[in-house]
Amino acid sequence: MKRSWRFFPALWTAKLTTAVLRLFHRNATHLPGLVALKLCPTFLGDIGKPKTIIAVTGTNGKTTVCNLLDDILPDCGVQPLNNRTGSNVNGGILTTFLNAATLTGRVKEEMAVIEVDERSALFVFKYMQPDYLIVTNLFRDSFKRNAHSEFISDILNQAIPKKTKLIVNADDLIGSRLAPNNDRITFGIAHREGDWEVRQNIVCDMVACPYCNTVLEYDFVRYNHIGRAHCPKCDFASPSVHYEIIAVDEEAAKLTVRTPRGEEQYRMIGDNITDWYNTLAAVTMLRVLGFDEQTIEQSLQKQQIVKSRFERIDIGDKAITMLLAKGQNPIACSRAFDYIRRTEGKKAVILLIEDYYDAKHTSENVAWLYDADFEFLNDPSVEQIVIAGVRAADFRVRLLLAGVDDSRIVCMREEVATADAVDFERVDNAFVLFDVYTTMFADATRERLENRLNGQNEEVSQ
Amino acid sequence: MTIEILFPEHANLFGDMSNMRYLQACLPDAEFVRTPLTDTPYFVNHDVDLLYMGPMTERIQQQVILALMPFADRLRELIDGGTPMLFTGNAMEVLGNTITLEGGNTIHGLGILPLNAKQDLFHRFNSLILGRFAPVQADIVGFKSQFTSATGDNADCAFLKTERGIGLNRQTHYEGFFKGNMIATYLIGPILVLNPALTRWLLDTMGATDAPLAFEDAVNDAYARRLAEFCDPQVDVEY
Repeated sequence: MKRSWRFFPALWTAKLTTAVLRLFHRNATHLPGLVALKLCPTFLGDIGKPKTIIAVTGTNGKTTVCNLLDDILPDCGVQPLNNRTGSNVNGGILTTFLNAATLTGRVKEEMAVIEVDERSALFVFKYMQPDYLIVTNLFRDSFKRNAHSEFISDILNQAIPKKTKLIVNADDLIGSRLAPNNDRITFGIAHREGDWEVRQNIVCDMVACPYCNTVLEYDFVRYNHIGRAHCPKCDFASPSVHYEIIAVDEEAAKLTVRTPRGEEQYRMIGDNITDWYNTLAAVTMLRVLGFDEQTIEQSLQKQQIVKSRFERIDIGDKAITMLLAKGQNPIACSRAFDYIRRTEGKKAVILLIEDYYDAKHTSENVAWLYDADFEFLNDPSVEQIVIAGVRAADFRVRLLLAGVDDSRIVCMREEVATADAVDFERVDNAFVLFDVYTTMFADATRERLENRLNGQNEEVSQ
Repeated sequence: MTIEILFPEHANLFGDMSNMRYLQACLPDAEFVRTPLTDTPYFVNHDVDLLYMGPMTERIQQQVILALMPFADRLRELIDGGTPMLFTGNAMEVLGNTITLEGGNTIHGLGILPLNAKQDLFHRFNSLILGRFAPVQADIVGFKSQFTSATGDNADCAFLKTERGIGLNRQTHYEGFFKGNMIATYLIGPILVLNPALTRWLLDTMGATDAPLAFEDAVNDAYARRLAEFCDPQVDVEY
């Protein structure tokens, strides 16, 4: 392999940077990669790579799919290189390869599972051509960074190398149409009872046929544009599905998947449809790689959704549910709201999803609140909605427009104090929705809720 | 009362459709006509009390221009006749003279506004806006998030004169256009929800002087808090 003369000086300097950062107990998950890039712009292309590279991108679910692959592959006999502890943008991905490389620039791992932020794909795929690219889904995301899903699709279409085989969600008419000339394997979930005939979400980025602009007819809608559709005027339609969940046994926690090799059964991780899509994406990838059904299933038995994303704590006959909702991501929040309304029992919802950094420096653009389905919280089972932060007044207006009665809304400035506002006389389950940058508030709120419930239980037992 | 929403299946980015949901809450008896891109707009053969179009993707923007081009004269007639209109985000560019695309090609808009826009898909501009809307002498608060900037002669017909944030481009404080009762602005999102005085003006102009603002207390409270933030020099304008 012909490398830039800058490569080795960059490699050694960046490794030295890592050592110094670690000496001072600092995270060395991003900066060393940027140092390498500064010294050698082609560093990612020049560094050694595993024989097989799997990249995972998409608006929602990419971290979960990567985590599943990273956890299952060792049970299949493969120890993958991954960017689990680093970021999914240029610096983090560069640092992942840097840390794995020897002083001669070689990487010993045979396989890599790399999570790639959609906007980083242009740079990353220029120098790291993945053999497989899993696209979980494409939706509207942060307006300020991602603009709209067509902008992100265009970036990915420019970035995806011709030889890369795609693993795409057939139920996503945006993601499944990426790089139309590339080989692809599709996964999806067959029509289920409870799927909608008419969309209930505010946002749908796939309303009209991309060829003739005729309004599409949805055979079923699961959420937003996730579902199956066809154009009544031309032959545009959802693609055929190679790996399809055809039955769900919620009691036995089993997913039945129709595959090109016949029906297979896998453990259901989580009770949310997005968990099933993520599991299916990982299973599809592993089956395409040739790993056997039994090994995958045995490994799935050990897996769970990481607690930083979902955790339910039962105390007596009450519960606290921690749910990562990702602020400024209207689809992720809508999924969380839908999950809450579908959960049994009377509920309180604590919203800690305003943008932490915007609150420090500027005034958050609240437009995204109006693409998120707060209407799902206008449900008789949601007794209280407690909002904290500088944007509480904006959340209140949004909830009122969603039809929520003002008497159910509590606004306050201090985040952790929200725990004191939950009326456990009226609710069975307190949901705490938080962003990736507000976990400190969420943890403190959970602790305060736990203390309250434990105190109540002690009083009862005395 | 009839409100036409142009091409809502496409022109609905950035939460802008909330403006129509809010108007619906203020005017529960109003008729909302939602015209898809494949249909002839309702305003072509009927009078409307408000015409609205929200932001769209850059590709759809070109199709929208083609769809509206045959009706440009009718739009001019309605604007000159004082029909209230609201065009938000890059819907404003549809009314302009030209849009220079990322690759350098230039497409023509409807030619109703003296506006020339230029795309830069590698740099997204995000900003808060605080500006004065002259007809009601009210401070308007809002947000921009866009790939384009524009040039145009709007000093005499701007929607806002900004106190914080930019106008059509970084060199001007004149933002958007206000002509007849038509507002065209780069502001995106729930501008009617965020600005009770603007909504009051719009309702009055539409003839709905008796219609109360929905959730008036809550909306006023949120507006007062945001206005205080936007006036605070410690708050960064570009986000």
